[in-house]
Amino acid sequence: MASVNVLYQSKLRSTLNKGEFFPLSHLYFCEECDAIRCARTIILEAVMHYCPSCLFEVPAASVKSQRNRCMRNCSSCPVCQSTLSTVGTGTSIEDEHISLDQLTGAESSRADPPFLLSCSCCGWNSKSFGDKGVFEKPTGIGALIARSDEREGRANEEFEYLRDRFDSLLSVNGFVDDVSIHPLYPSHSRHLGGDAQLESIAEPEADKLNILRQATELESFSNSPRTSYPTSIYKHLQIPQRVKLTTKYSKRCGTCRHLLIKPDTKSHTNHKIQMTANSYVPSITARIARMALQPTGSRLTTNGELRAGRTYVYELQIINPLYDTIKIGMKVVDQRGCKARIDEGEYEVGAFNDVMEFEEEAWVQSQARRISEAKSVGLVESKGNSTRTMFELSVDSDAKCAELVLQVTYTYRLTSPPSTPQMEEAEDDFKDFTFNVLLDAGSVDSNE
Amino acid sequence: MSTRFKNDSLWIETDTGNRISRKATICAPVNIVLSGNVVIKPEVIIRGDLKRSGPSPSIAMNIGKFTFLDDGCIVRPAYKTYKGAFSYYPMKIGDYTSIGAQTVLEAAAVGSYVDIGKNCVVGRFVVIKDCAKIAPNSVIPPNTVIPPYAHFSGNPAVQIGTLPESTLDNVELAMTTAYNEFKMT
Repeated sequence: MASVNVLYQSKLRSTLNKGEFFPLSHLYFCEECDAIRCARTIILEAVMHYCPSCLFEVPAASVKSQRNRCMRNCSSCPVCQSTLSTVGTGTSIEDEHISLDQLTGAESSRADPPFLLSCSCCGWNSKSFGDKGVFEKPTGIGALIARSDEREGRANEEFEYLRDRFDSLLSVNGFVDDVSIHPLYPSHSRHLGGDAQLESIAEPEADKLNILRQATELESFSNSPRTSYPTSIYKHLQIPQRVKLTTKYSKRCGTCRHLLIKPDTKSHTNHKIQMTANSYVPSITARIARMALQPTGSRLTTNGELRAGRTYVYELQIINPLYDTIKIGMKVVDQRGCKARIDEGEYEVGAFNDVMEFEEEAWVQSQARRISEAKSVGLVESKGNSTRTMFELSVDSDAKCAELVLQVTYTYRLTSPPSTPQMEEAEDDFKDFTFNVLLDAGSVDSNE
Repeated sequence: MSTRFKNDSLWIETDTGNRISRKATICAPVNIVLSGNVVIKPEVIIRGDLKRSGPSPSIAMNIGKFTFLDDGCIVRPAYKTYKGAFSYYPMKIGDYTSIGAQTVLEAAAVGSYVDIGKNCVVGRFVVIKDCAKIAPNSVIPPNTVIPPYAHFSGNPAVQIGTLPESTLDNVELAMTTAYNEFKMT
């Protein structure tokens, strides 16, 4: 059912290029700069490395010597890239019903030597190497693979391959110097001053990255193990690869270098510092209102697209993540393929309350104020920390897609501790924050 | 066929808020633990009867709170022969997790805040860590480990991306909202 993509702009700017908008979940918020930060305006710092298969942490000192791959027991199938399991094919338990040839699946492991590596996805197993593919111990197989890689000169194969490709690419396009000023690769000699400087770097950089991507399919030699080795038609003769390590990053604001994300080294799920935008900026979702509220004739096409020349009613939900009531107002700054009619007045959105979820339903009911069901523009419902409003969208008769850029301003109270105990009656300090959101109502079917 | 219950509606709601469709097939409920606020939709099959062999009572399936099992998914414990003995192994599913329609799940452990799309096949002894996401129509080969915040897709599934740090909060909010807005019709 025609849901609307709501994307946030990381920086207030007059250029309303669609590429500068991101989903709220991908954005961060820097308290020092009082600004939203996106993937392009943060700095990444490697914090720790771990194997995505056995989840063991690898000390930073040994990552290089282990060639960024798991040294323990994790390897992936040379044919289909799925994880290999170590299978014991020993015969200490006699069972004449099972022939030894069938003892290669992980589900029939005997936990007795000899051991071999077996892929439970495509059926490949390391027996095809003869003696080299059979192990006496079920542990430390990664180290054995690494040793034979070094001996047979395969260890540098991937690096050489990547270097060849990048060398030719970078020299042709003259991008070599630019890598040093990319926000993702902090150069310590150069300190970025203000926001403006950062922006000026980020912008052309993004353009160049796009050129690179289009010209060479940058993804094809990204971190994926599928393509990192030169592909060979003799795949069944290739050796298993050790699993590549995953890196956890901490993320810093590109301007003031304050930490935005700091992973918890003890837990893979939690973060010690987590300044994601969704806990600072009100979340806005939009969807088309119930069919009963639509003007006559305004139905969607069978595949859920809008029809050209019709008017639709949308429901906009604003959820407040702050522990204080906010006032929010919005106005249309840009519209493509449609005309929007919204209520530009200010609404109050209640404070977020953790405890509310566990309280009586009745309390929520008493807070709920149903304002009006019939109208198609303006406030409809406010309940807890969420407010619903309606707006109308008239699709142009020659439109291909309908997009709407709203400038949202919200006012919140600054939570500063009182400096002196006598200041209880002190005036509250209010602060504004403004951001742009893009509502993408999808493509328009103009056949009708 | 007459039913044992006076209330002949299509759903059962337990004291802890579990909502179970009467059209779901739940084998040996004795071996299944639901932590509360679990939604089990029609045509779901849960094989609680496939428990670890042996005379002692054991739990075959442990499902966390605010977890959704969508229409027609099949959840059954993984099995293997280890040292010559065949056995099923209990499955644990975390909190705020959703399992898509028509998906076949034979994992050993599914973490919390996990989103498994529809029409997936999750092989035996797969371990899915917290906050992971599996795209619809993916096939996860047996014995795979899916790390936290990973986005997997394809056949066989490989990691195609990393989810943002806000995933945990977003999934928790989405699942509680989905539960509160869920209508037993």
